[in-house]
Amino acid sequence: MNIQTVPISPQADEAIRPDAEVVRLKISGPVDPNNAVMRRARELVLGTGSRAMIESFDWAVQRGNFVTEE
Amino acid sequence: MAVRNERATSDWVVGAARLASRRPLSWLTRLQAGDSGRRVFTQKLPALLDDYLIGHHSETHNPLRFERWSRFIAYPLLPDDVLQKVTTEMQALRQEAAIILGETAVRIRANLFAPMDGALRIVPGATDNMKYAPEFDLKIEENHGATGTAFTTGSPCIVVKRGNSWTGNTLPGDELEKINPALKWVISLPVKSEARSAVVGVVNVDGLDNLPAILQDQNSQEYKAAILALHLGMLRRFEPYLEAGFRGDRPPQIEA
Repeated sequence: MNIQTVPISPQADEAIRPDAEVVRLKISGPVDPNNAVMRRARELVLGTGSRAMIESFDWAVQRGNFVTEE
Repeated sequence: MAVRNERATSDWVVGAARLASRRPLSWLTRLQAGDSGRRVFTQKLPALLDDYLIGHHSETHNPLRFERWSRFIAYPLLPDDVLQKVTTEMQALRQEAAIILGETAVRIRANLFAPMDGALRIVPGATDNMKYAPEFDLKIEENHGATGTAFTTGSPCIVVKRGNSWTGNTLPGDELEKINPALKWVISLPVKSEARSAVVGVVNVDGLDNLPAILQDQNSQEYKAAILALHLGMLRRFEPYLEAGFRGDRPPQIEA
């Protein structure tokens, strides 16, 4: 499982870097609940104390429907 | 956009029309009709909604069913009961985002964009803590800004205003002029419909005045984890309501 941030705006020259660039969180490969980012994300969700949020998180992990590229 | 077929299994009226369209009766009636009104679609596609009831012709035209038709036709405008569910979820998400991002909830806002009239627009009423009127008229094209990119790619996207302007955001100038001058960051979370295998809306969580520390470094694990937490933590909560709105159904309710 690979979770990476991909800038959408061109960054060829740091000197002319735009003020506000769009960054995409690209997730690929089989879902791995033990991935460090996944584990930390679940910790953050648990920290909210929201049952609805935790249930949604676990449901999404089980379905894997948030992965955009295999 | 979808096509809805609501048919009655014992609809003799369309059967009679079909009979009257056949020879030799067609010579007299001049009818060219069939019984498609009681048949299922010949193709199975997410945008072809088939529904049937066991009964006769008049039952599909019962006024009690008009409400469902009006809901279906109005989509993506949401009826009050669905809208109330969506805004309640938004209020909760805003509070949860405040905890995850380490930001005060007062500075966080939420809204829902969906395709309307050929572009992504805020679904009327589907906002939370938004008070800057020009933003309600925002029109975003596919691949434009974080919202348009999230809609096109199906990935969560974020845009942060680090300088004085929104250059690099790819929204045209006349749309940028509608944005609240205090806006600093936007996290765009696509909502996917499993039934339709498509992104059907984008929930934006954004913030005024301040950029939370967790969103400072786009390469950090905390940054990725925060966005992932928000996305996975909201997916199951919005999809059922948007799906109910799309089909013209009432929203899922708590049952004892």
